[in-house]
Amino acid sequence: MILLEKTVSKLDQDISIWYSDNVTKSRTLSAVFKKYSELVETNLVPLQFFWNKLDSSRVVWAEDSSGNILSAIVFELNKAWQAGYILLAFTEPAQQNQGVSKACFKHYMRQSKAAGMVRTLGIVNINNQDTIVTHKTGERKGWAGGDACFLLLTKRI
Amino acid sequence: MNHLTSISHLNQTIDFWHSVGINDKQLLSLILRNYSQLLDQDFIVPGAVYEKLDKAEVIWATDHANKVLGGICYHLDSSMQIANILLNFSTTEFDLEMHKTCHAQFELKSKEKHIVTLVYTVHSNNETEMSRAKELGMKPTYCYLSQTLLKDI
Repeated sequence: MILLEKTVSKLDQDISIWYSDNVTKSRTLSAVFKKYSELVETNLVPLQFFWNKLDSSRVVWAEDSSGNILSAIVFELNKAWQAGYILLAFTEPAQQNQGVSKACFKHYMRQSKAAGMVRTLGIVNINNQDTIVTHKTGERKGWAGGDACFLLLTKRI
Repeated sequence: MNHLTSISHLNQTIDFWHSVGINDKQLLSLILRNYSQLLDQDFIVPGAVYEKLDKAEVIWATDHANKVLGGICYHLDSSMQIANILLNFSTTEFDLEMHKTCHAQFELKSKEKHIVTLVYTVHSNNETEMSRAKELGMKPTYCYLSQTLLKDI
């Protein structure tokens, strides 16, 4: 686990941004399971967790001085698309619009670029406004699915 | 998703189901929440491999309102003739009798595939799981940070 940055949120809260190249060995795994569970219950993600990608997934996350996970972006390096492909992105409700997800997104892009990727990529349910807001920090809408259920968000980096 | 059996329990019918893959909304949500709780309690065993969950088989119990109460996630390794228990998951309503019925169905499914040994690796500090496994006839074999329990069937 690598400490990337120490910053202060708009709520004047000390925040640290971390990176791990293996989400299962990071402090975020419990929060990742819990958040995906909440999203399943509200029909905002597919009924299929990325079990087979978990061990090779990377994560950038923000935590407060007590170690609480405030925001996280779980992603894989998709060589075919040359993209840092987001598997899950979330920000705790109290931390939305406080600059926390923006900081995570910036580092997710940097890590993807450093690994040779040329674009960001994420597929988001159109009703998942929290995650769309996180993605819009730096991405543009590229495509909407045929049933308009999911948005594919991408950006060159 | 196949119906396996029903039991009458505390004046209600409990149904038991089997599926390959975790594609049910309630099931997936409960399994993820149980994993999250295990992590919070520090009960995840070292070297846990999550990719097996992708093709895991699941046996679970539902109440009369079709609420998922708990169950077992497992992976069959036919070449080694072993069945690995990946997770016992539960809500507060999932009691020992339901757990035993799930486990009995799991043993039947394993025998159908010519499995000869059941394997369950439990964190050494997870006393609840350890005692439940022993009650089902599983025998501890190796202990360090985790304990592997075996049962020949």
